[in-house]
Amino acid sequence: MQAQNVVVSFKNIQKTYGGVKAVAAISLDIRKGELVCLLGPSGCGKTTTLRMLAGFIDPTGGDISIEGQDVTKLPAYRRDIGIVFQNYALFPHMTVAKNVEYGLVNIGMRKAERRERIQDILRRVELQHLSDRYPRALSGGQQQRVALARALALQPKVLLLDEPFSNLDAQLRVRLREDLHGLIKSLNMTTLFVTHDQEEALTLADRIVVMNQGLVEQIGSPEEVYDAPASRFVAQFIGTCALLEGNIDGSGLFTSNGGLRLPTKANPGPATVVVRPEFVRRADELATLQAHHARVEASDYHGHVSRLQLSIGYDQLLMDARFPVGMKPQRGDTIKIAIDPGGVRVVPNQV
Amino acid sequence: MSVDLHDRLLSVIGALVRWLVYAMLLLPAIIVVATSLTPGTTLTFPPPGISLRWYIAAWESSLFMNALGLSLKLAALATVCSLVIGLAATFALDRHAFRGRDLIQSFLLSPLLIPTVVLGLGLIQFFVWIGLNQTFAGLLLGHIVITLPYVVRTLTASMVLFDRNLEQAAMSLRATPTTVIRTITIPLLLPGIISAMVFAFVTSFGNVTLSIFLSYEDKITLPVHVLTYVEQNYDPLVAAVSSIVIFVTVLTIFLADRLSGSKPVI
Repeated sequence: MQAQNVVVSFKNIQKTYGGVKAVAAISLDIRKGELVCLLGPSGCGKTTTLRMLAGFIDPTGGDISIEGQDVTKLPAYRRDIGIVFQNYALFPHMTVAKNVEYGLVNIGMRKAERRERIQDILRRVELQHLSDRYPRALSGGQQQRVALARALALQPKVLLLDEPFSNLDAQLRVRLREDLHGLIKSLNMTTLFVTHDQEEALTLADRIVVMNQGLVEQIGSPEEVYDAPASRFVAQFIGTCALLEGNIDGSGLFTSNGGLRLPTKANPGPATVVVRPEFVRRADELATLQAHHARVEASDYHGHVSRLQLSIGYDQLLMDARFPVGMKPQRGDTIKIAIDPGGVRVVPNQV
Repeated sequence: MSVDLHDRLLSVIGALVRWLVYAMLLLPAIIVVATSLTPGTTLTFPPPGISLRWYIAAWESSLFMNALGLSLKLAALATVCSLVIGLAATFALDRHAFRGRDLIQSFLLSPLLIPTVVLGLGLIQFFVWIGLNQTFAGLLLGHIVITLPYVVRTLTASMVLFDRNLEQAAMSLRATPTTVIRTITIPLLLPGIISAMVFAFVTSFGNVTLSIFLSYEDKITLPVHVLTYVEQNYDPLVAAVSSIVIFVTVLTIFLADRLSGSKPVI
């Protein structure tokens, strides 16, 4: 990593509230143009981390720097950041154009230049026709884009997004997500994004920071956190999976406590194995592998696949599969399955 | 059939109660304004005719006009003072967690709980002790004490509804704290501030109990003047003066409503 490319740097950042650790010790570098996502359940410290970077919360310990300048003690209005809040926080007594202009007035930009900048940014978010409207007259999606335009108008060094999609309905969410991604990438904007939605994180982020109870569980690309989860928590929080407890012997063969055997490349010892539902297949699809008889405990239809809850002896597995019309297994049926060894991941056992 | 009858009976009674309440609320004011328009020399309702002679008499009565001037000045000053104190106090109470916060909150509202007579008696003794008895400052201080709870209560309510994210958003847009307060906080709290001012003004302007204790010599407020006048006289002049009090109050609320824009003040 080239040091001069680092825009944001957290060094051992901590926050405690009356003895309770909200953020334990985060160290993270965000590079120029990178989109980093803080992902975790509510109360994991992700929003606290974002707000410490914004300057709304003073860290208990550690340093934050932006482009090499230590900003830990700098008030929010002297940091070069833009932020989009979950509720957008548009100024209700100002029109769209005035909302966008607000920051430009504060930095003392000339009127002609301001007008040009407002036009330009509103065009980018396709809202120039609504510039004289008040926020309450806009839809949720439009409000979000105004908030984004307002934050980007100042051309900040970092853009912060605090769950910007959580107030939108599912279809709009996907479309706006794509728009946002395109815009951020076209501006090469360094972005820190907070969400509890793993799908959002997987589709948007260049790197994901998975947090739990104030601790960083894993930092990695979407592929890394999904395919090679560093902990049980990461495996369960991102995507769905079955976890099997057991032991690995000297030849790398994993034997679960229920007796299921799976080949791995891991070191011997007690281990937890992650099996994603898409790697559990019908036995006829993977004819070369050992087949298991599995009992169907439950079956949910999801449209593109059916998700089955299976039990093999004492082991529980999940399976995503397509079945011909009328052939979908029912609860209580026994089917033959095989487990694709490429999808079997070993997670370190935390004692 | 009987259920139908029952429902209709209930709705008739409901309407009756509703109109009774409206009447009880409005009639005193209507009667006072109506009697003030009498051309005669006694307080009679309904008035035998329409005339403004008692308004002219009130206008020419330097006693009542001085009292009106004093009451307006007192109410205006008490409003401004309790707004400044109340705004600062509510900000502190709303924004900061500190020891004794609940205590201070209750303390600021306590004049509402203490009977005004008791308050007046206490204040007059206190003012004698510190040498503020029979001074305008004493009168003003007393009025600040009774108007402050209304200001604190109203402002607290509007601050609870205030979205702090707006201030943080403004700060992230390079606004210094003073700019944030000037461009975001105050404009958005304005309906609450105006409504607090109306409550304070009307409370001070209409107060009798406390003013009886603190009025002196020529510094006698209008409501106190009306009361003492009625004790000795029974002519429509007092109705005309009372009507003026009503007009001032209604005008205050109307202006405040206009000022705060689309949102109703009260």
